Amino acid sequence: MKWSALVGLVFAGALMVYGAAELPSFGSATSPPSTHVSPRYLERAWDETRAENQVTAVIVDYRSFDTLFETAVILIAGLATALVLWPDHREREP
Amino acid sequence: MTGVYDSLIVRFAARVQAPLLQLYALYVLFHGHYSPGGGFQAGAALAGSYLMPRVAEGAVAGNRGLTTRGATVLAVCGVLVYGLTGLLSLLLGGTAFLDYSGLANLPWPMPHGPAVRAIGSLTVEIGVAMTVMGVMITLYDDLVARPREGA
Repeated sequence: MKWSALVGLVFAGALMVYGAAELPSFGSATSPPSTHVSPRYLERAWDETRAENQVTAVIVDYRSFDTLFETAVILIAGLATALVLWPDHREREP
Repeated sequence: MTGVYDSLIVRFAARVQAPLLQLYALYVLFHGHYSPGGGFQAGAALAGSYLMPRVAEGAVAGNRGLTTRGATVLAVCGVLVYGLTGLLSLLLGGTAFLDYSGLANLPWPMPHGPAVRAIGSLTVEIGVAMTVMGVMITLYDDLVARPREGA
């Protein structure tokens, strides 16, 4: 059983290395992420959102729905942690 | 934990630096449109300005201005500001939730064209900053609260 797992592991690893060889090189201008919507953001962010910082334009304008729930995730994680630590059996420093 | 750093210099430095840090956080928040920065970073800096006196003077003496409960309410209000901005822009004629161009129809004078989107972005950034700030202060206060005697 252990040996079959090892064989499977090597096979899966070889498959991943084979797949990684086909990935576009880092920062490639012809890769799909660089040719689909990124040029539009870079070229038209100022005209459409009046934000010189294209990162801001993407975060709070083009993808603001995503950021809304990112904020909600922070709130929910914080409230959940606070509930675990809830000081009902504790007190502030005297 | 009372009087964590019983040093006049530390207390004075925390008191003097906190307003400066708040000013810088507001710069980071409002300048996020033009340079690196924005709601998340500004919220962290604002929380730092409230946590610094708590660290220097202890959780009760340094608790001026914003209580734990107030911080939690602030965090919830931040998400509400964000969501209500999106809802308002939809109800006022935007084509979608969070389509800020609908905000141009507010009853008071608003810029037209893409400039109104910058105002919508700024509003939601303020909401993000409120949430990050409130969550950080809530977590700090709950972490330093200590068990009651005999409980």
